[in-house]
Amino acid sequence: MSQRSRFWSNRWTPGQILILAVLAVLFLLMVYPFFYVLFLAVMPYANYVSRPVHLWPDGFTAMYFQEIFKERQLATGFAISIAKTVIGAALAVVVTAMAGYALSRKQLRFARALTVVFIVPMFFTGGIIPFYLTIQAIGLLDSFWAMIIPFLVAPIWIFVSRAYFMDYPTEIIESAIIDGAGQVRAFWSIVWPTSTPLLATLAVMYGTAFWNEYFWSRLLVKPDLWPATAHLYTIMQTRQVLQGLGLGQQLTEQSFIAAVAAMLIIPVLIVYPLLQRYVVKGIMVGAVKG
Amino acid sequence: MIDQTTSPSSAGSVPIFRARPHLHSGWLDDLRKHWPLYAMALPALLLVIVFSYGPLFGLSIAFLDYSPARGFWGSRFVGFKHFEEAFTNPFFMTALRNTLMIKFLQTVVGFPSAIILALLLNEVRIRWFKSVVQTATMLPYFISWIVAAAMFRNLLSPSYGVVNEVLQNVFGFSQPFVVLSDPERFRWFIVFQDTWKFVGFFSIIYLAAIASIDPTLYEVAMVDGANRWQQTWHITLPGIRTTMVTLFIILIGYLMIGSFEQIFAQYNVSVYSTGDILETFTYRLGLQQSKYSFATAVGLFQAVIAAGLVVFANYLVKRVDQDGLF
Repeated sequence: MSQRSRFWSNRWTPGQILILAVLAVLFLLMVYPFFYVLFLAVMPYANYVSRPVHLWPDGFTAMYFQEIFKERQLATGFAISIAKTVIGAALAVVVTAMAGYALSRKQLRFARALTVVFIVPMFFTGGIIPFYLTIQAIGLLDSFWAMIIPFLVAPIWIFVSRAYFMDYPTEIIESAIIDGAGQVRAFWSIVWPTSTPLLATLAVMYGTAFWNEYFWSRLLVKPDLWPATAHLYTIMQTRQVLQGLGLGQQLTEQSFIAAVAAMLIIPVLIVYPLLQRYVVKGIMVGAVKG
Repeated sequence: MIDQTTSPSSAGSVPIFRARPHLHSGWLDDLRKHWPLYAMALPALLLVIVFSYGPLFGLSIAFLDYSPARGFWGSRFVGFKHFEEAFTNPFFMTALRNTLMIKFLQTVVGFPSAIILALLLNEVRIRWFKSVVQTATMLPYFISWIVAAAMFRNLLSPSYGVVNEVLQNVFGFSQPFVVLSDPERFRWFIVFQDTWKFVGFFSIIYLAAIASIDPTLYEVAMVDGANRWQQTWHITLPGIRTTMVTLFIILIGYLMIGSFEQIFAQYNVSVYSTGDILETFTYRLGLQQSKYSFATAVGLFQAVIAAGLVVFANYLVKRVDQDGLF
């Protein structure tokens, strides 16, 4: 069999075609909800009511997005989402990377004990009520920092960082220390700038967690500090009530909800190539460790 | 949990001279010498102590009649009263059953789906097609549960969702097909939505495992005349066995931890019978009805069983690949 004919027979066997077909259907199932929410967000009301079935885009209006910016609290919510994500992810990356680095140093006598301290919360958590009461007890409630500080450390990422730094070439660090740098200086001036793959993975994982979170924000701060996700929850709940009473303009409301959802999706889609690259890497590191 | 790299045995193989004659007196020296390193771990340590160990301490209110007015020290000790109350509460039993049932079904559906997806993707010879499908299946992993809830509520709404539009206008359904407020369908919706969100993520792990299989195995099999299906069955699947077993055990370990953010965003009173889980139950009790102690007792019960399952799962994983989870 020549190289060429084997190539073609491998490619278009009935089995291959079946696999491609199954995956194509799966692709549509995965992507359609995204597609639907995005075109609904820009579909003009007139086009909506003129047809009974809405399977694909029809017309364009930015009206619903303009509505979002007219709602002062909701618009502020998007600003808070951005602030929360950027500040939270930046602090979380610094705190996590430093701890992971310290735990990876073999000369520390208490590295082992510290590791145990970070492992226990992965197995045993207090649950919703004690966590809430703790945050209340230290007086963080109703502060912007209530949405940041309690969520800065996820032990799994400390262990991923530790694994990464354990493989970091020790000679480089040691030579810097011989040259008179302290451990802290060595970390900041040598290890940190050369650890972009790890830091990007951490930033992406913490960043998406901060961006996507909606439950705790609603509990911990008042509505004027809510991120957009928390407002979306409330809008949906309110609509549910209106629907139950037979009130409310359903059609415009569902496009409005789609527009809010779209504004939460679009930033994710923009940074998606980055997300995919670094998260896949992070999963690999985690999977190799795990 | 045993950390090979920091265990004492790796310190040095010829212990003729000991740097520290009295090991137990060295800890202060260690702190003094390495304090900058310890200082680097300090912020994370403090955060974990306050926000992870603090709530563990707070679990003790499960044994009190806690009220914010009386405070922690002013509340009366009541022993196991709240636990007894929980076990005779029909809503608690429903929530417990639903938590296990939903997680069980999510595992039964989601676990094989990820393997099948990875195997299918592995057979695709057209590079761009493979990467497009992979990108699409990973996409749901990155969005908020509240956004997913908004999407599916729009899709499935009985009055204007596209699913019902098609069913009624194309297939001639006379009654709306209700999903989100029908108890039985809600359960399956939660199960399949979970698969939708995570199947791409988990398939990546399997694809990584498949990529690490020795390619000469396939070459030998081809020489022996094995077709693609036989290669998958006899080489690929055994090659990812360890990964499969490990992930399955991890999923079993988390059976008791409900899919809270997913369900909280989408459940409503009409589906409590199948959709109310322990987390949502404790939330309503504790933070809406201020029955802090009762809710914490339920949470403590759940935490103990969950921790037991996870520890047990980790023990099993360790036996599978000798490394353990961490």
